[in-house]
Amino acid sequence: MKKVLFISHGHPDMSKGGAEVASWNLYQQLKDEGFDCLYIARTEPGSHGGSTFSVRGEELLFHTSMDDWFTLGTSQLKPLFDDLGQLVKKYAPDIIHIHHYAHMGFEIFCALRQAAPTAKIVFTIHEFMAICMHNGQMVKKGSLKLCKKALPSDCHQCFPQHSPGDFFLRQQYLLDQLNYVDCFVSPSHFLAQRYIEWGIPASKMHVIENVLPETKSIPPRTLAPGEKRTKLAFFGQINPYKGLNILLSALNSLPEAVRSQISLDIHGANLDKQEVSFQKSIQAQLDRLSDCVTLRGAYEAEQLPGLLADCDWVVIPSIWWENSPVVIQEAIAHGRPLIGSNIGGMKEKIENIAGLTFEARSPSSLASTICNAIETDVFDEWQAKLSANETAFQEHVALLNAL
Amino acid sequence: MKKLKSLLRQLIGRSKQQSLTIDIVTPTIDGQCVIGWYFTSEVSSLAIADKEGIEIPGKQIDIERQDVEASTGQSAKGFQLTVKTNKSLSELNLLAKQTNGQIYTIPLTSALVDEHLGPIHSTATGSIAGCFELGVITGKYLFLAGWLIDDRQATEFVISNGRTNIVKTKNQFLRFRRADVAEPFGRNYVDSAGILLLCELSDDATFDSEKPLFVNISLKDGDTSVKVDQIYCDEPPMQSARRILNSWNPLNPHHIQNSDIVAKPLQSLYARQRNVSTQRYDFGVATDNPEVSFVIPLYGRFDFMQYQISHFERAGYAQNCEIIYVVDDPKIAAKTLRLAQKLSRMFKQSFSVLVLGENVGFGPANNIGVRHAKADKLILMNSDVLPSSADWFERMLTPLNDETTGIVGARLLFEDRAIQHDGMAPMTISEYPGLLFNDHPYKGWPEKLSPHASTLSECALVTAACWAVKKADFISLGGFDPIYVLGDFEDSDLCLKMLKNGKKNYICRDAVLFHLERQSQNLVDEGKWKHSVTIINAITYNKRWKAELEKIRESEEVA
Repeated sequence: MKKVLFISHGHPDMSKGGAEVASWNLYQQLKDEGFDCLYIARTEPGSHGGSTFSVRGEELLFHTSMDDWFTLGTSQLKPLFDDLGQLVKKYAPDIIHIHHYAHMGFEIFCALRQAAPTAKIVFTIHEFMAICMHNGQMVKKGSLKLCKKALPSDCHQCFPQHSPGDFFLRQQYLLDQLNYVDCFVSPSHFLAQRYIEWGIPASKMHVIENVLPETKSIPPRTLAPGEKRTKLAFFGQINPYKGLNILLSALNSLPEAVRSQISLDIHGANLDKQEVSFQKSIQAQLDRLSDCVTLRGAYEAEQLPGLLADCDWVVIPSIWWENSPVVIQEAIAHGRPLIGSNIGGMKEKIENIAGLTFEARSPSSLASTICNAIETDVFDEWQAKLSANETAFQEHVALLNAL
Repeated sequence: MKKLKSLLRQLIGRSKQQSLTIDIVTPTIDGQCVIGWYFTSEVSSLAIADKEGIEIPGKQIDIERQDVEASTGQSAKGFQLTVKTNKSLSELNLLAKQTNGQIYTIPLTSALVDEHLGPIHSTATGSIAGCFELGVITGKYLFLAGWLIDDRQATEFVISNGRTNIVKTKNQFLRFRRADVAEPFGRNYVDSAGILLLCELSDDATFDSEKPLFVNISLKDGDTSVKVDQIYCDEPPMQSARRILNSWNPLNPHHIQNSDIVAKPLQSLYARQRNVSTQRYDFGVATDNPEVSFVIPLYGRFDFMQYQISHFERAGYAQNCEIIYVVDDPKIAAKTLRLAQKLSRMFKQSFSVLVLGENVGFGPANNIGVRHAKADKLILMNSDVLPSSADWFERMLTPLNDETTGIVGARLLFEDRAIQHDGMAPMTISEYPGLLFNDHPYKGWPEKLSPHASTLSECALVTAACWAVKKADFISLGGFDPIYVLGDFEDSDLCLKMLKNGKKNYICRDAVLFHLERQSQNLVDEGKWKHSVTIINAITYNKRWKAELEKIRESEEVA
């Protein structure tokens, strides 16, 4: 069995982002399959005795940081090239499975290649940060218009302090560093295509969905006589890109007959960390919808099955592209169809597969989709079609074995 | 025609979007005063703010600007905006609210400061009023600027340090209009009050910084002694260059004819620094016998080195090359060396960093780099050039194997693949009759619309942003001539020397590199003085090459 070293930019115990959870799930399942694995998760600097590593159970924590968000680089080369380098040499992995570079630095590819000249470096791309400096949203600052491509002159409009030429150099530099990678994994065709257009060779790109822990489908909620499929749920961060405001506007515009039946549970946190104007506008919408919307706050992974069991439809109204949001795979695995924006990763993972899509950013389109979705025959049709992705793990294994 | 206009705009320092012009910024007792004008159709209001964007309350006085309206045909308004602040100019921006709602931010820089502004006062004792506000000592010259109410009578000037005359008797001067002097003294003197005076210092001249200098003038009505208000010497050259050029107006043909008066001190300012200290640092394992030496000056933006080394590492063709970065900017030396350490930790590509003790300008920096180069073949490259692929390298070097080849240039593209350089050609500009400038035909065009095939062709003038040239040829012609101040024309000058020497220059249009022009140079404050430098250089260039340039122009018109 091959030795696989995992590098994650966070430990899921401390940070529950999609990339952390996806790398963790794959790590656990590869271990179960008999692979010799080592999981290294980055965390804040400041460890016992100033050591670069500390131990958390079977996993390692890697204490380092990055300081240049333009070239996604770090001035701290010792943790990467000396400390991680020596550890990698000792462990001598056959495969290095990188799930992110954030907070460690884009130099990590070069450092790992130096430490393990013959190992295969696999990089799973979870977002668009390398392409788009606007946190990888591929949405313009201010106007929030969608970007299909990162043109240097457009990037300069978002970040006037960097010239178009600077953005061109940034792209070339990042592509140079990604040249150390032997094989790219993307959980969606959409993200894969964006990176290929940006400059990653198509021959190195593999589309494989993230793996989930084994999950049992939950039967649909039992309806009272005459009741419709009117219980909606929203899972995710509350920020301008997740489109909660679109969903709330849609609810507000529903015909009274529908509105009186609808309920929405919002399972998400961090509204308090957003800009005041955004908080105010969400709060104003929530006040108008107090009859049908409940803000339920953050949740733990263990609670998810119960929360999903209580709802009929999961709504994902993001105004940005998304990649392969873990909530989609989780909803499908638990037997809940989705209503999602008709762009990017949501369109790819939902349309004709797991539910209904609506015109992204359009509350009226979402409202009419909801009116349609609450009909029991519509729900039943999509609920019956749901099938969890059971091949993803085997595809991952096959890829690693083929390297 | 469009191309000409855009070049002209660059030359006179106005971008095409500019709806507002700052004429003067002047310090007041307790703040700053900005004077200028704007097009009323484009700008609705003005404010001064700090770098955080916090507006500083100020007082705005509107000024009629019929002169602007007459020359532009657009409705314009002048302004005088005064703010009380203890912040320095570099901490302030002028915010122009556009009629379309956008806010246009213009940094205020000391380049905009008019040295002569402020109440004029006479420092003369004797028959007439006058003042030399400024004296700059550069090498063997003393340059003076001021005004005299002498009815243009003064023709001979003796400069005294209190004891003896310190200049040779032959001196040059230029008289011109000083509107600020005309106000208090009356219209009659408008055309003649201003004076620029250039004197050559006597070999035994001595100064005592504590003691003032006096300009002694003999006139019909008696002698006058005029004190020099401020003497500047041993300042950073750029600062002295600004002072010297401040009163010289390149748009005035009379000033153009008398350009020597500023050109001589300016050129001596830069020429005298040729013996700067250099410290070489080598990174990585260098090859003993490199096949090619790259020379790449760095000024301001040292981060370009990271992008280039990353490219060389990936592309691989430079493994057996020597790459010399010449740090022509002491301010960035420490940071450049730190970055070099990092890059040598990351990459196998070897390279060297040559740190110069002071800023010497593009040409001299290259010359010093070439002196350190070990290989027979050179690639001279700007730091904001990034090759588009690996094949350019052999394509540009191969022609050097022919003994008759002088310089080989490349096709250069902007980041959007628009042409940046496809060969240069001489051109005229209507504002400067009789002078030929370097044009970059097809600049901004898509590659496919270039009339030139993507092959190697003869081309008289190619930009030094990317050159392949034999080291022996470069050195035998003396390298880049430092007479061109701050980097202008020295590349075309060397191209012409190469032709004169019987060699042929080429452009290799199938060697394509990106050139993010104006990235590495834009840290020099643009402004009136920089424009004057360009014109001074153009005059030097034309005095030397006018006939050859006309021939090139004719042959291109025929082609």
